[in-house]
Amino acid sequence: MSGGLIAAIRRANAPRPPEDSIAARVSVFAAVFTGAVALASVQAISGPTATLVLVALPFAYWVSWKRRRKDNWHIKIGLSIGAIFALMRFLGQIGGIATLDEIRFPLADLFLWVQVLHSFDVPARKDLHFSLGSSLTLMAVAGSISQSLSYLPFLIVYFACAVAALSLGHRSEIGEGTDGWMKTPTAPGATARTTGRVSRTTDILRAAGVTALAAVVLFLVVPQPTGVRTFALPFSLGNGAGLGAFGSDIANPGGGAGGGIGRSRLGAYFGVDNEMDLRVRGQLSDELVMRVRASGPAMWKGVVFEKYDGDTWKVPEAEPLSLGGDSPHLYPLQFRSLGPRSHVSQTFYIEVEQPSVLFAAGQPDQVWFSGSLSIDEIGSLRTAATLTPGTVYSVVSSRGAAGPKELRAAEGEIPESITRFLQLPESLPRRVEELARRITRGATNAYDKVKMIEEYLADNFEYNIASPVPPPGDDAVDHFLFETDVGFCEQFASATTVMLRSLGIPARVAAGYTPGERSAFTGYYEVKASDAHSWIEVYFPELGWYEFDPTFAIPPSEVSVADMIPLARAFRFLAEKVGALLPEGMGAMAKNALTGALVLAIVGGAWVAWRKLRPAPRIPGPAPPPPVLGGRVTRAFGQLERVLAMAGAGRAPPETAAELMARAADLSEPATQHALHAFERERYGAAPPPEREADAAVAELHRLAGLHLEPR
Amino acid sequence: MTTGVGLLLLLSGSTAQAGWLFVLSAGVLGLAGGSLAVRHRLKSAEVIRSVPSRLRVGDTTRVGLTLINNGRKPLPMLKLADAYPAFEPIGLATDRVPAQGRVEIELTRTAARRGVFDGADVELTSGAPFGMARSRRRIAVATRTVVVPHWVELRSFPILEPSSLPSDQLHERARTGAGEEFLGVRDYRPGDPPRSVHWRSTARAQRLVVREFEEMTYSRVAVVVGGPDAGLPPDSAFEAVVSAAASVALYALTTGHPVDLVRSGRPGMIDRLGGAGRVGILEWLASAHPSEDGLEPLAAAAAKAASRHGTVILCATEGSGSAGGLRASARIVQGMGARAIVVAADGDSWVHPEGRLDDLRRGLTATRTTLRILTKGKDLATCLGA
Repeated sequence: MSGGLIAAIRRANAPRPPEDSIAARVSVFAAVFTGAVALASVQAISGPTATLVLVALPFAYWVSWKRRRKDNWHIKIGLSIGAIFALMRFLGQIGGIATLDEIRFPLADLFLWVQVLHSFDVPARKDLHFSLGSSLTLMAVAGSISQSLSYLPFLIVYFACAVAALSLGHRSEIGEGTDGWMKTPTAPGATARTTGRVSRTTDILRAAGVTALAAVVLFLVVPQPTGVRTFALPFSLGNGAGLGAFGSDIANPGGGAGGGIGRSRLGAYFGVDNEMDLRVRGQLSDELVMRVRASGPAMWKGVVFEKYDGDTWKVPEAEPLSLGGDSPHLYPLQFRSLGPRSHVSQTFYIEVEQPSVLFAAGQPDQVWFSGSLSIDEIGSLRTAATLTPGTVYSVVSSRGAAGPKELRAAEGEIPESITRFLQLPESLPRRVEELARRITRGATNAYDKVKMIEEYLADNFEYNIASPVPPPGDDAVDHFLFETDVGFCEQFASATTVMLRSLGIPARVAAGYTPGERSAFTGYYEVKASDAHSWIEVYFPELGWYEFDPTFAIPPSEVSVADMIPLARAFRFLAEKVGALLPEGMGAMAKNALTGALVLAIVGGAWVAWRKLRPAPRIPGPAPPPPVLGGRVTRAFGQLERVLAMAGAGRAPPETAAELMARAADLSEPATQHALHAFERERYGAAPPPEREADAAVAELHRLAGLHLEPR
Repeated sequence: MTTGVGLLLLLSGSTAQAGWLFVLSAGVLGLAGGSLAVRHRLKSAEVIRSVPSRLRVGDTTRVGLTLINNGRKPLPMLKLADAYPAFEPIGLATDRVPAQGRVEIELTRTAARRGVFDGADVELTSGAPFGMARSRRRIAVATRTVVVPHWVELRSFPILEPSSLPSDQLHERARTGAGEEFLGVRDYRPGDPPRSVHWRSTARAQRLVVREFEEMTYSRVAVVVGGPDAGLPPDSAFEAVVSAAASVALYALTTGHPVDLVRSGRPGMIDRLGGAGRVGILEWLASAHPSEDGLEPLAAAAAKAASRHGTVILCATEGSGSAGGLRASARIVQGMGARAIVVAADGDSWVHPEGRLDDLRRGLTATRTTLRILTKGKDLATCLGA
């Protein structure tokens, strides 16, 4: 048993033939080098480390090339010592990490040093392939850290190098242990076009093309599930100190503006503040304000408002209570909703300074945040200061997952703590309530009433960011509902909330951001200032708060399989664009069918065009005749062959000389036999036949040729 | 392996919610998928092998291999393995072969073993572009080559040695020769027939002088090839036997003797070649195989072919396990009136360095049979006493 194991270990460690292909080595080196540069570009390693590594790698590959045929026992010992040092360095680094997520950085450092050390001893092809495979970890670590498209060039270069390395390595393997490479016979003046020869570079490019095509197809069709991550979630402080929030106030770097001022000045949504003034108007910029890595799309809620005074929504005036303790901070039980829930994990990467609130989806059950957190009377999370760029925090939230059936069936007493969300100003005109009752006539439950109001607003009101400002003294909701019929999210959300409250249904306005656009490459939801939004939350007895958006739509709480497949998402995007061009009365099914037909027509047309327009396959002309080797006996034999060919008895490709002679003459004749021997000796033998034998053979072959030339 | 790495990255991307890992995994899976997607169109390949139709064991020759692509799509980079048994296996590589194109190579090869080879499969293997997925195709390539045994040109061989003749013929032949060509005169020896006395010379010399004639009637020679093998071809006892048989047969042919060859054929059959020329003899011997059958029937057939005045040369392996077969065969030959010459390969010497054929030597000495012993490592001509 042990003997077999030792033999197996010996076999595994037996020296392999060195890889002599410089091109394959350079390709592997380039791939590893690209991995190291990619790692440095995402700042996963320090500057000095990156410099040292990028200098050491070429040197290591040069040493490895020069010593590929030697028993590098002293290098191996050195590498072992180096590996121990790298491990000690890693252990030292992980002692200083604050969160489990940060272990990626020391790990990247360790992988990189192991890669550099290994590069000193890569004599064989298998070692090079191992090096190439392990360089994938560098790219993976860099990819897991990268948040932008700047990683893409590294990925393209890396795969180009990997394709070249694998292709050249395979070529080297094909040629290994063989007796040589077969060549295309070339006639004078032959070119690659006439012979159809393909250069090695073209071969590699073709392989790269096939790989890229396969990769794109797989990328488009393979589902990309994003599981709910509940461990090693990152959080860290941002750059510099933010604006401090005092008392019950929310500090907002975009705040302090009066009516008519831009609402997302400095990239922070003005609506996420102590109050939301429905008289404020402004433009929304497309500046990226945050990236969110999340298991699914959701509304990133910053604050909820309690009181409405006729033109402004306000947060509670009481000072928020500190949540205390270390991360993860747990959401207090009294604010938690019940019933079926779905979970979504999020990590927020702040790019532009944001108000002193914690954006999160739905109900933030667990929060990992560097710094103190507090909570106001109605459950909005506050931070001690504004969120500065570079701030990272993570949240595991839950969202109500009850379907329409459960929501329609939700009945019961409204708790005392929730009745505050029925508040309405006394100055609210009666016609608002009357309108609400008229819209919801026939509805027997809160859910249907919400949907009917949403439908009414969608059908009768126009969305416009520059809607008219209500005159002083007028109720903003009444003005919107009965005077202008034009508004934006704040008006839609406020009107819905006020009408629901007037019907005795607890509701509140929430402000924050929509999910943003998910990058197909980075996987991050990229949230812009223009994604600032307001929506509503409605309370259902026994189930808690549920989000509704009278303006657009709330993302579903469960991510569908189609949402995980990029191709399906792309199709949906295209269907939306095509649907916008089609008549409104057309059903979704018909729009999808038309979009599908359009896609098929484009793909089919492209295919047909390619078939028609592609260059004709290079089929060379007749192959040149093989060069004539040998001396005069061979020439005489060639003459005989030609004479036989003229007589219609030419030599077939697989026919041997002996078989030809057997057809052409009597092989039992000694002279004929000797002629054949002389030909074979001259054509195939190590030494030509003696002069006399050659003379006799030529004479005999000429005689035979003469026989066949004679008329019969 | 690559697919596993790709799926691992996909899982990592899902767990870490990192979109770039999905792209990376798609790239890795694309490498594997690209390898699988490439169709290795090996069906359009045709291989032609060019070799001489006749060779001698040990001869160095040129072997040509041509790979032709008869299809309208290129052949991928591939490896070609030719196990044509006349030579050591050949391994070749080729880059992409264009549609309707061809590649070729000419190699120098040594004929490794004796035999008649009608062809062998050529195996094409392609793993283009990365070697992750491989396709194989075997193509039967018909190429007939006869590798004849190695032989030596003997300067002499005791085909006519008197001691090999039956005693009554020996007696007469030893005296005056049996031919008709007048060779000369010599002094009378007791036993010379009276009719050979040359009276004119006797009168002149004053003593009895007899005429002497050269042997003019060329006796038939039958060569028996048989016995088992010992050692591994091409350096084996039976190969030495075949080489010796070829050398002796060609010598006999050169010296004017009609030659017959006898060996074991299909089970229970005897394979015989008569009146063949040089090429015929060599090709016949090229296809000889070792046999465990007894030599005696072959010896009897050979003696019958050689007729009463002929010579039977028994070429066979003889070892410790088969002692006695050659002795018995020699006795049969002599009993049928032909003379016997034994060329025995010391099979033991191919297995044990100290192999000896003492029993055979003693037994044949008693019957005054000429014996030549082939031993591993010794020059064939020396062993044959040429």
